[in-house]
Formats: sequence, C-alpha cells, structure tokens
Amino acid sequence: MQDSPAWIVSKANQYARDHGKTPFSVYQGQWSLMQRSFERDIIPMARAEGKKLFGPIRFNNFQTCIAGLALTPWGVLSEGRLRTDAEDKMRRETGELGRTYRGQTWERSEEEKKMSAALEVVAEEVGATSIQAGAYFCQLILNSE
Amino acid sequence: MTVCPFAVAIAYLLHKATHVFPVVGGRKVEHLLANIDALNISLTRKQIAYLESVNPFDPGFPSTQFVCHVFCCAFHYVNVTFCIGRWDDTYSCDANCRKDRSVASPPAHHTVSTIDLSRSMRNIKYK
Repeated sequence: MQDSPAWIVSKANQYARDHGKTPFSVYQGQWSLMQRSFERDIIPMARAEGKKLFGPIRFNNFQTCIAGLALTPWGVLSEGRLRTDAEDKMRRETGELGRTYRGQTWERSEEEKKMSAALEVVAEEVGATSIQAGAYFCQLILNSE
Repeated sequence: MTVCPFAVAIAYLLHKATHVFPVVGGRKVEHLLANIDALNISLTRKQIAYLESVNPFDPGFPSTQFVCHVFCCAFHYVNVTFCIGRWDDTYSCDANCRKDRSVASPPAHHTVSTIDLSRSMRNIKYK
C-alpha cells in the first residue's frame, strides 16, 4: 500500500480480515529527517495493524499477528538534497549539478543545509564510537580465548 | 572508520521503527556503499534527539493531547495483557527509538533479513 492515509489502510485490512483475504504487508511512503509527518499516524497504524485486540494467537494468523506492517520509506535523503557542503561545491565545479524533476530545484533549502551539517556532526561522532565498539568487540573475543 | 552523513540519515529511520526497508536511489557505486554502511550504525538517544532538534517537528492534534496518550496507553495495555506486545513499544513518537545499544554491545553486523528476523523474534512473547 502506498502514499495513502492511515485510515484507508486500516479499513482495507479490516475488510480483508473479515472476508478471509490477506491484509497488506508493507506500507510505502515519504519519510525522512526533513519530512517527518509519517510519524503522526502511519507508524502507529503500522504497529497496531500487527496486533490483535482479543483472543489467542493461532498459527494461521501468526504472521499478521506479530510482524505488523513493514515500512518502505522513500525520499529518505530528501531526494538527494541532504548532502555535504563539499559535495555541493564539487557538483558546482564539475557542472554535474543535480536532478531537477517535478519542478524541484537541486539546490538545498536553508533547513536542508542545517540538517546536512547536523548529520555531518553525528557522522563524525559515530565514526569515532564505532572504532571504540570494534575495539571492545576484539577485547571480548581475546578474553574468551 | 569514516561514516557518510547519508548513512546516518538512513540509520535514523532504522532506529525509529521496526521493519523499516528504506527505498534508496543512488546513481553511483559510492552512494550504494555509503547506504550499506547505515546497517552498521547504532545511534544513541542523545544523537537522535539532536538530529530531531535541528528542524523541530510538531506532531499536532491529536498527538499532542493528553487524552490521545491515555487512549494509546489503554489500547497498548489491552494488547500486552491479552495478546502479544512489549511495554517499551510505546506509541509516542519520541519513545520509538531503540534503547541505547552502543554502550552495552558493539554494532551488529547483520544483513537486512537477519536484523528483521532478530527483531521479530524479540517481539514474540506468549501469553
């Protein structure tokens, strides 16, 4: 199911259950750090769809009971507009620029620039901690031997 | 290890909910490799809170209402009591992130399918 309101997915799934058909297993929609309205209704719906309100779990509804709706977000990098300043500069110099479709510019907005900078900060932090975690893991293996 | 900022953006989504399979459209091999890196990243709650604070998001009505929270909790209580569920699977947006794993354990080097499998196995609780 793609790009539709949460209540439509819920109703369709209920229709499917009532008529012995298979409910939806995946919801696809736009979700990224720049576009978080997905978190309002879609995610709670996806979680709730996997749960039965009453009654024991049976094997024939095992999957639908536990898994819930999987999510396949699109536009996760704000359609290519979450990028570093360095890459922006490189694209200008090489004349590569970026994709312009559906009337959108390839230039980043102020918010996207701010978010890109924040992502770079976190990426640096994560890079440092991964090395530590890797070291910790090595230590564990060595100790167990 | 250098981590690409794109990978962090993807890892953020993987932390916010279970069973997330981002659709990515890279045009270069480097994009693909950077995107795969996202599977190895574990973010702390602090980092997630920082990313969310850059562009504040207002969930709006009715998510901001106390009554909505009560209803969600009641619904969840019923689920946990009579069916399957976990208490830390709360319905509020900000509590959806996973527990801070980076301190206790190293980042898991899994493929997408095994991550998915281990997450669903963790969710199983028989009543």
